[in-house]
Amino acid sequence: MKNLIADGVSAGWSYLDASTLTADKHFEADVVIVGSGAGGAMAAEQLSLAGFKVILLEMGALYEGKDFKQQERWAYPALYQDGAGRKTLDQSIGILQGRTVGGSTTVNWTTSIRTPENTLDYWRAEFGSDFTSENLAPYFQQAEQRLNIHPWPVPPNSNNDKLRQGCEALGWQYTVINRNVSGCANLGYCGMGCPINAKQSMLVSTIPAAMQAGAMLISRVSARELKWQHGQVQSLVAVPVDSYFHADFKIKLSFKAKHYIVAAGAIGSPALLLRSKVPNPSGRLGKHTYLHPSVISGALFEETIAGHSGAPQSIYSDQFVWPSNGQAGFKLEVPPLHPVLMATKLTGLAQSHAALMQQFNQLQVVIALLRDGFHPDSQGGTVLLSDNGEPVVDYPISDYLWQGVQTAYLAMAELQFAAGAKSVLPIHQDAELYRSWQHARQAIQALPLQRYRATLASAHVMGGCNMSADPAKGVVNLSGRHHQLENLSVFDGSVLPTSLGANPQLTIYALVSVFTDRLRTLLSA
Amino acid sequence: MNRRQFIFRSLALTLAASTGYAVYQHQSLQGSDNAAVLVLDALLPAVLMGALPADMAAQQLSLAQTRDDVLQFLAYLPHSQQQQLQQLFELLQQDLARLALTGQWLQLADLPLPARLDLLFSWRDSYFSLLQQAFSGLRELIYAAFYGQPQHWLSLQYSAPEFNL
Repeated sequence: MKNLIADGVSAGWSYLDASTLTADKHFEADVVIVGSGAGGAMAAEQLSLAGFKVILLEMGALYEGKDFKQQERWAYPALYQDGAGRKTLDQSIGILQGRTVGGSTTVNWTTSIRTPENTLDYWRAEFGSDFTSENLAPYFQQAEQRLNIHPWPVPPNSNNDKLRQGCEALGWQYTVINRNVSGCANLGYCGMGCPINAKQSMLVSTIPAAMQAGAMLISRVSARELKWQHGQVQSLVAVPVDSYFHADFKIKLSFKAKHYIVAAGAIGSPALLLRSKVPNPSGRLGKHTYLHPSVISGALFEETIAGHSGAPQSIYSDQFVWPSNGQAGFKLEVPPLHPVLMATKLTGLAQSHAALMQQFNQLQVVIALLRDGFHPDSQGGTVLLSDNGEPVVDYPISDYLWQGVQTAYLAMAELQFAAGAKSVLPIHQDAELYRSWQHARQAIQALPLQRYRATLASAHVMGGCNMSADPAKGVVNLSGRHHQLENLSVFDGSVLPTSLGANPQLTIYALVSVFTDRLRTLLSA
Repeated sequence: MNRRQFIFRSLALTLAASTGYAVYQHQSLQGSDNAAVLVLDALLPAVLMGALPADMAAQQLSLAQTRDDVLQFLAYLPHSQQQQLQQLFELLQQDLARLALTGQWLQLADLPLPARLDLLFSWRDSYFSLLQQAFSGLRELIYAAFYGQPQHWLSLQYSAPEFNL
């Protein structure tokens, strides 16, 4: 197994760990890209191959292949924002978000889904978008080929198979998931970094290709401010991060480029633009942040589930994503089950918690990802800055979404019983292990729909710099270009005008490929 | 004092006032440096009841490692969350503030284990969102630290593949 980037650096690729700097440093390039995840790295490869001098900045550290340890106590502090302890402002929703070279693609669960037709329709109607499944198809195909995205041919692990079985028993829709893997050993540790380079994250694909083509990678650097005047960004100021990934202001890095691409994720990108006080006539910068707030349901089975082993996600159900009654829709998936992730999400304390954990291998878990952003009462959250400029998302949960939470608890419990569960535990402080669907249904309908009572999580942060044809309704245009600052683009999930109702990586790859095509033409002119 | 610290202090003050101990505000907030250690050492045996190894020596080792792992992890949290937790730890070490937050004059470590659990449950069910946050935050930190240690996976019959370890 190779560490592709480390080997490349030994052979002369350009790489800097900013935390090793002892003095201020200035850099110049054609394009500076902030963020090395799905958006930034995809753009870095395509622009570098087109001959542009690219510098790619990443706040996280460089870990790859042989560095990855299959232990959550190593992986979460090393690879995730806030050590996987990121939360919304009121701490009612946990947010899993990558913070490492390759961004969330290094730690995601490999689920690759094209943008749902209904979502594209909504964007066309509400935001003047011109994207259709047809005109995006070549870009989806390009990403699918580049990252070997294909239907997972291996039988699902038991955790996913219970989702399939429940859907079959109830006549509900389900789909075998397309995954971006090559030579996958079905280990189940995608969330801790793939130790065998099988996951086709940015770490093993576009970033090495960009560096081979001459791009410079700088890790452990936090972009702080875009300096701009007269409608143009003049420079970017950044600082290294310390060993805990907090900005360290003792040293300054400055960057001058023809074009600046912000791709720091849907919390980091709006935060950088807010710190930079860029023009914001639409008032939408840092607003309409979507999370796919996710509700969790555990179930105990007689047989062994061992949800830690095998591809984490291989089945999903869209049975409830687009309900005809206008209620909040949700997608059904399962998470990988590792001890820390489970222990922190399961309810109970002391003996009751320990008793659940002792049935760890009989535990099956379903998650329902609420599709937010498509209803007047689901307008998302707001990225706020602390006194020292660090971002946090304020995400109030409306009654409309709470109704979706309750419907999701009911659907998950019904599915788990239909799949043969002996008991079901909605992950809610007031819930218990229910031994029949009838009992569960009654109890769930009585559960208080309140923050802190229902355990909520998010693995998909979207919006905050939404694209729109009309500058009054968005931060960037339909090419990801900032409506007011000419040489500034946003190329990541923050451009999404709503959530997706699907896992976002493939949408970001395709949209950013469109954006990069257009930017390349512009920069070449 | 940042906004969150202010809120936490105000919350303690409100609670103190409601119990007739408004003199709280005259107490110093400069708690002992090891407030976090003392609070964790008191809460861990309660929160981890049923999960700790039976052997006393192994139990003590397990508690100490879990406490150390929690303390090490705190540095990865945003500064505002670190400050909020530190303030909670310090308040719990101060007599009047603890009385306000827990209804007890006794040090946490002097309470029986079930009373320590009752305290946490009272935070969970409190109307004050900061106490609810304190419940879920501490609980998450403790369980993450405990179940992050491979020696605690035995009862789960879980093992991780050993690439790169």
